Amino acid sequence: MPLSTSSSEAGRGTPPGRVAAALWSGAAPTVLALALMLAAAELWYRAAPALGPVDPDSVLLATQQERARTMGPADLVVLGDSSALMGIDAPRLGAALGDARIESLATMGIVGPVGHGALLRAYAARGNQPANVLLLLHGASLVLTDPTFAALGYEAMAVAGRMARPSPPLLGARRKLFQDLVFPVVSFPLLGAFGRAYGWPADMKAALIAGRGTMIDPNPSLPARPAAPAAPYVFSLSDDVARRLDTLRGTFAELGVGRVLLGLTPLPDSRHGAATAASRAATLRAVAGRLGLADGDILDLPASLPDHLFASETHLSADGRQAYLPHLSAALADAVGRPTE
Amino acid sequence: MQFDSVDFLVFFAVVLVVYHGMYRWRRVQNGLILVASYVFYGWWDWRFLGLIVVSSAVDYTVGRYLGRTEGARARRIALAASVVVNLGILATFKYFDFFAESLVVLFDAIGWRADLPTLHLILPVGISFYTFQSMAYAIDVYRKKVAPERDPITFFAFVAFFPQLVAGPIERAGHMLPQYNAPRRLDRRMVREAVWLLAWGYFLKEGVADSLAPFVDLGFRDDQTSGWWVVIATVAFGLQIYADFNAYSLIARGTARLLGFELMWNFNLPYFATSIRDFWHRWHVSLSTWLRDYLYIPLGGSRRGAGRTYFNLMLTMGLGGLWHGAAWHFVFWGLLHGGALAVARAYQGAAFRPLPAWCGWLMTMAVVFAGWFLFRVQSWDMMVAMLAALDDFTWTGHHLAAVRGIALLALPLVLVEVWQHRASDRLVALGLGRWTFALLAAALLAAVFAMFGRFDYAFIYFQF
Repeated sequence: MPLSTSSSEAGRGTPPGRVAAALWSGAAPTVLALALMLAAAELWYRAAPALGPVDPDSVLLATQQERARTMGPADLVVLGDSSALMGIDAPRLGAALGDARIESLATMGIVGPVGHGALLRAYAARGNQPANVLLLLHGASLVLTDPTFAALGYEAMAVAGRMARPSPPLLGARRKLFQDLVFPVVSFPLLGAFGRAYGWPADMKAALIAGRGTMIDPNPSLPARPAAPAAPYVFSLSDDVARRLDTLRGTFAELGVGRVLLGLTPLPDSRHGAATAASRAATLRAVAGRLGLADGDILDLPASLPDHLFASETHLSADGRQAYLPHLSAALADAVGRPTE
Repeated sequence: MQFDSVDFLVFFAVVLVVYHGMYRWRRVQNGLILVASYVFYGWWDWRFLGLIVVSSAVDYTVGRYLGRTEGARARRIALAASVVVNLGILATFKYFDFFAESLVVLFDAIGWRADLPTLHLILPVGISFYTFQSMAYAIDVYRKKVAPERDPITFFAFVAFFPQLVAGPIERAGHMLPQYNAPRRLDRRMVREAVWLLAWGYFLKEGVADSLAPFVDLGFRDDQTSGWWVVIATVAFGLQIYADFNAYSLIARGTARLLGFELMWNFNLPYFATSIRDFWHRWHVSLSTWLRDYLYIPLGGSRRGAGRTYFNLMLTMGLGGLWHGAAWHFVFWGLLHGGALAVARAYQGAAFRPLPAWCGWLMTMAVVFAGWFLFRVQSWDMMVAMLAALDDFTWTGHHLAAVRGIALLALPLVLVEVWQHRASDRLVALGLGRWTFALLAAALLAAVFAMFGRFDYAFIYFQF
């Protein structure tokens, strides 16, 4: 046989001291150079913390910030989370309301009521007087808590009016390197369904502008019936969101908003159960109470729609938002004040 | 545990320290490799460990038996046991449902209604790699090319060695077992080599392969209508899969180096190949040599006439395709390469003038990238839609953005490989001055840091 592979203890490996010396002399210059590069990136980030939008969430917020600062007066401004963003077709809703001008500044639940108020403030700062505001939220946005708002940073960015989120050491450097060094050179398409539907961030921005601040969730529709029975959805309002609603109420008052309307976006039918209706009504009242709204300011909107009209548990699909349109236009007809034919 | 995860970095740092602390006791070091490898593998799903233990135990026992048995019939039976167990594991966990479903479709096509059972088993990661490595050991012992390993710890560690466990290279006992039985050395040169392999490997994964993936995903879809996207995404995938798999092999080699082992090179600048045969000498070398030594040559290789040679090439490459995954598109990919190898051999046999190198390169790349299209499509619907899309070559701004992005992402790969090619040395970077090398490696690692987890794609070859 050409070689023996029998085990033997003869001969020893390199002792730890010499291993350490080899590691030091072989790797230390690289480690040192890397540390210097990352330190420089960190300093760069701290000097200029605003980052370019590269993913759907940041493109969305940055675009709505830009729209808020530049758009003209509207008959109705929509504020809210992504269920409002994806659940409304603003141009068609405007047409259904007799060519009313509907502009949406809806973003995401993690922007929170304070962030929604900041967008409205930017809109008003241009000299626009908000006559009618619709605040449209999903139940999922009402249960968020301080740690979530703080960790994701979107609320802080909405309030600051620029895309500079607080980042722990090195994370900022990492974001800076990617967003301001790599991304401007190599423009990446959006990932997943958003990439397939919209392509690049600039395309999604264009779609959002064309949709007057609304857009389609491109994910495939949910099955008509879920594979397994889902628990009924129970609405509630967290203390942290409640406090933020108080702040939003102050913003509405400060900006002299003519009328505030409130609505909750629908759930898939499969999530609507016995406990849902009562908790929904109670939560709506609680939110309205925080905002100082009367019962008449709460829109009568469907609590649920068929599952196949949803792209996710919280977002209507393209078909779903068309199915939702008549409900919205009926509920808004009086408030917006341009009677339909 | 993925190489590109924080879990792995912590795991490897701990293993490295403890491992070199045991420098006096090689067998303990082998035991540590075994334990670490099982932790590494069990990190995905501890139930997978049963299969690797069975495969290792069978081949260890067969090896020992072959070592003390001279009877030809008994030796053949022992070898058959190894082959049956290893291929049985593969057949059950990887191919059972594929063949059952294919048979149902076949019966349906001829009017028979069949209702065959399917198992719906989870495919254990790396199963095709370690079964082939373990089985090759038994065959080598049978052929008396390798002495049977007496120490079970050493043998089990050889089969499970975590740097190359889940995506190769598929190592040979003759190359690795002597290293398990030798002292583990580590010096400055080896560390420097490891730094380069790790920096370049991680950069290829995070900065090239994963960054190309969104472009590939945009192109490969069953509602594709643009011919340009088919072409662009296929080229991008050819670059992605090379960067991804080469990255894994480089990281494997780099981590093994720090443990005092030398793994084989799995890639040798394959996109510089000027013939399809040359390509297979450069691409996934551990698999291509495995298929050559344990399938093609035993089938008769090129020793039984032209017709049989072509048949052997097609069969070997078709099975090589099937090795990648239980799906027909992998078989077609293998058959395309088998056909190309057969045509190249026929051309060579006809004593035509050799093609100019540039022409050979162009033709080779045409075959290789057409193959990548077959490799990447995920369904018949996708393949049909994408082929139908070749009717429309309307150029848009999206195509330009994609081409620009892909070209920029591939640029570092091209520059480094041209450098390596001109120097005929894959470790040419080690010839740089101390601080130039450090700056280059650090720049690569800084890019890895910036891109880390940004797109988060698993290594492509994990699924095989």
